[in-house]
Amino acid sequence: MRLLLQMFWSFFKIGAFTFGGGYAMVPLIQKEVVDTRKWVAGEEFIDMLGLAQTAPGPVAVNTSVFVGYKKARFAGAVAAVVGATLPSFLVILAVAIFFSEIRHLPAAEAAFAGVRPAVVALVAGAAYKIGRTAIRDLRGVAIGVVALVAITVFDIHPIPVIVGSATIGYFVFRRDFKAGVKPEPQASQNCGSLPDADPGLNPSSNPDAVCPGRGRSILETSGSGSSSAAGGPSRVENVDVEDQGR
Amino acid sequence: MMVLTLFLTFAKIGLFTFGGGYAMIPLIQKEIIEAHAWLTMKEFVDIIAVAEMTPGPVAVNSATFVGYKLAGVPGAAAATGGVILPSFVIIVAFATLFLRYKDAPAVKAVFKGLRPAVTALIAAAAISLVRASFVDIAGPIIAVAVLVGMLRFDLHPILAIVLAAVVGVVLY
Repeated sequence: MRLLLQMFWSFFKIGAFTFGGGYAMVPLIQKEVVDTRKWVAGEEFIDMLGLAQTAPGPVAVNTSVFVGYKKARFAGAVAAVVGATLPSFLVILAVAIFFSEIRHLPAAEAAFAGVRPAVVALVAGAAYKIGRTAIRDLRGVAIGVVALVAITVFDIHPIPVIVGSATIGYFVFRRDFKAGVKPEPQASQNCGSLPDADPGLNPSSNPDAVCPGRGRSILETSGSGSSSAAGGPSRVENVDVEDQGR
Repeated sequence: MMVLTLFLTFAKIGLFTFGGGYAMIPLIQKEIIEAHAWLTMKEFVDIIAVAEMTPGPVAVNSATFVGYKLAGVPGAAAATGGVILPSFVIIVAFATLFLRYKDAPAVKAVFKGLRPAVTALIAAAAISLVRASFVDIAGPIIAVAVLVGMLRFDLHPILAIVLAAVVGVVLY
């Protein structure tokens, strides 16, 4: 219950201070969820953002549902999404009730003229912090540059960019994770008592090996940045949350 | 009855708008202004202006406003709930699959390729925001100050926004 209240309150703050919509929420979520609360590790946060982009709906709503669900399943998702949307709901309700016709509010406009450049900086800062976690070698740089050119120069929609780079990633980075076949700490535990078995050693051939209710524990262990003890070429796997938070 | 119609209409908007934010505007326009005539074009433009000045996604703001106008607070709640519901269901499904398979080597490789693209998406968002945000010399100065504050001194984003709003009120 405490976690749910905390989650509601965190996303309420995020929702209340997200001006400009969409990505303006990213730096706030990053600060609150990754740096302060440590509910999600740096890499996982980026993965969530990527998935949030491929689903319909506002990125901010999607990301809040994802984080909430990860930490506290369905109840967490509800707490997070209600928290994230309640501030705008109340503000718009107030505007609708008190102004028969929406007028331009000079004070709010002036404040927003100051906030807008700050939001640019916050989003740019978030891109920098995310890049430090997301891009670990030249192959990553190459994918990032191609994606950036695709979006800014050729105006390609985010979904094909994400799906395309994920496909490229599969072929380019596939070999890096061969080492993952070695027993990892979480893979050695069994499903029953410590539901941590690595589900993905061979997901395509034995989806039945999946144990219900395993998710939470995986998160607890891997969320701390120690998800993989596998050595070998996968030097890129262990990224500490602290690494990007300073 | 109106409440149910609002809920279903906004659920449809929520389901078919990918990419969030302004990607939703054409669909909202089509459903709300053209199909149902719940709003005039002028009111819709005003909503976008207010959505830019108030916290929250444009889609959520539009839903709340239209819902309230047509059916009071219950309408606002129904429309807002409707616009969120499809994302909620889809993300819960995504999250379930992601949490289940994220440690698979193939999935790890996929996400390693996806992460630089996410970085690019966010960098691109910052670039496109520059165009709309820097109207005079104060803009770049505020932006550089916030960026330095954030990356060097770990300035909290909420504090940065509050300070920038104060600067805005003083300047403009």
